Amino acid sequence: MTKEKHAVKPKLFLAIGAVLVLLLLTLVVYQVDTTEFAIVTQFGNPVRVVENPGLQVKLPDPIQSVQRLDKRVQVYQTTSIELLTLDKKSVSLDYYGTWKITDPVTFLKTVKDKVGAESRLLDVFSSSLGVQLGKYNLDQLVNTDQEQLQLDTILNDATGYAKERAAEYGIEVVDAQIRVLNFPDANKQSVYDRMSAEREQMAQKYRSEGSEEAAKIRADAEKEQQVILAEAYAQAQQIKGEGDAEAIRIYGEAFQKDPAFYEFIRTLETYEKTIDGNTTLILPSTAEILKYLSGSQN
Amino acid sequence: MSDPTKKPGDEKKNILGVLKDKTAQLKGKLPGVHRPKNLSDKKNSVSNDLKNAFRHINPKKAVWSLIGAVFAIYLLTGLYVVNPGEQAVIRRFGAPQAQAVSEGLHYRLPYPIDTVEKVNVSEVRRADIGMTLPDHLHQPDDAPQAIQLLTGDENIITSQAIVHYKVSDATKFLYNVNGNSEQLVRYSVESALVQAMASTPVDDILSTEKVAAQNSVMALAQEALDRYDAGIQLTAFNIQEIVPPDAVSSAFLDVTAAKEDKETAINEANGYANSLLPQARANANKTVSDAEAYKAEQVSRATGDTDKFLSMLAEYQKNSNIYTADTTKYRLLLETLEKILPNVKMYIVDSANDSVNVKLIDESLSGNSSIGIGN
Repeated sequence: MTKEKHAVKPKLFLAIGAVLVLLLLTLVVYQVDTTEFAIVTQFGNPVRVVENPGLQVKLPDPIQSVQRLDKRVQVYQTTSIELLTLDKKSVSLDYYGTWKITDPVTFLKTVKDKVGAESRLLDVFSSSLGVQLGKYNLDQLVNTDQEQLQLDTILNDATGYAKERAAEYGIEVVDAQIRVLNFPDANKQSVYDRMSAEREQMAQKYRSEGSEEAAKIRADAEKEQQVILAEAYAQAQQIKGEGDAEAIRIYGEAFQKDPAFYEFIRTLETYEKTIDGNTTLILPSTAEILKYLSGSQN
Repeated sequence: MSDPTKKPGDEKKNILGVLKDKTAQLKGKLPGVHRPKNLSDKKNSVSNDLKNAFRHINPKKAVWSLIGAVFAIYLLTGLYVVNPGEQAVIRRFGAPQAQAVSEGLHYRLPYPIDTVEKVNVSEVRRADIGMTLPDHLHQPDDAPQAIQLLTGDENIITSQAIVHYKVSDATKFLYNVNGNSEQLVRYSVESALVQAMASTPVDDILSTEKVAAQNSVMALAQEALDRYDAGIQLTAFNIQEIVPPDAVSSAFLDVTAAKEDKETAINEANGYANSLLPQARANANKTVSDAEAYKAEQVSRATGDTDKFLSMLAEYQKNSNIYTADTTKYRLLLETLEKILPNVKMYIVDSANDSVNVKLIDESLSGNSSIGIGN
């Protein structure tokens, strides 16, 4: 029996020793996650900040203890706030901000936790947004002309101010974004009325433009019609003139061969054409044609 | 665990025997512990039975085997499976390992050394904006609200949109931002919408600029997400609906109707012009052709007339050689008179002084319609 005891004892001691070492290790070794800062405090005073994740060593509790703070980007949101622009128009804003802890010790000393941080950020942000918004007119918040638009500037200035202030709390403001930009509910009806009036005006404009353009098209068409007809008339007259001239030339060429005979023939033709059944002819008895009737006279 | 073939030095023992020895050892080491001496005697019959039942087991080996088995099982807990489309991130004592692990069967060191988290990186996730997709589950504090936006010309419009996104970097996605990723995506898209609309006129966004706005909103939102290093990639952004609020929708519809009215008026006028001008051209052509016909007629008539004259002249000259010119002329005159006179009322008056009072003949002949042939 005694021989056996001597054989077992060292192994047992080894096992117990290992367990004890492990237990002691848990007192001095601690793990830091990638999502957190670890602040080692000695009797409540921060002595170092661990930013890199992994296993770390400290003096055992209660000499040194570890506090952990979230290293990740935090998102905080607000309810609507109503603000006045320079031209005394009121707008309602919803925004969200993103921030993270950069100086854990300062953070721990000044704001302690996330709730404290966000309530301070909210104060800082809302007041700086109010100040910035009060410097600009509504038409600089929204404008179809990019050059007039100052929304970015307003937000950047407000964020810049908030960044400065937040640094005092060991916080870095990543950004702030306006989620909702609108008129307050109380003002909406008048906005809707204005929108309707604008639309009516626009509708009227389209309709009168329509009739104006239609009238112009009709007038142009009628004008063109006149031009076409007038040009055709001119062309026709010219053609007719050519015809007449040609006829005159033909007549002239022929008749100049014996103008006296032509005159005689034309006169006869004229008689033939103009004297008909309705004509009353009064001839003196001395007329040449009757010379044989009164025979003795000639 | 049993080992029937024993080494010569080993004494046959059972578990209870070992335990008894250990108890005795502990009693010797720790003075505070007292054990009644007769405990083993009282339970002798039971312990003997147990001894007999486990006599074939070598207790020392059994303990080590047991410890070995437990350790092996512990080591085996390091096995894990990454499903298709997933990536796994290993944290060793909280520090993420550089390389994300892709699909398949893998091994890591067991807890608490290594921990594994898996993320589906191929899944296209959706966030609904300004509306609630019927088949989409939301976090309790993250129901989307209806959205009203201010346009560049100070009009209010309402909008509904869907954004698609996926995890582009599992490590960043898991450890960089504290919060609901869908909400973060929704917030950044909503802010981008506010920014994009602030410079866009309402008419443009309702008609032509929708696609351009979609692209700029997606770019702006992606910019914000990159600022947070969120490991999220937006893949698509679609404006489902962008309309004026109900209170003014009829006024907006009337503008659309007015645009159509304008088109109608213009089309009607064009129709009128299109019928008027061909008609005019047809009339013009007719006028010109008429003139050409007239020209042809004049020329033909002149040619005919002159031909007739020339042939008469030829005859006249021939006759004038035979008879006298006057005789021929007189004959032609008589021929004409023969044609005319039968139809004519003719009065022959004897007048000494070549003047005739026509009123004596007929009251109706007071005008110009009397022709006198005299010499």
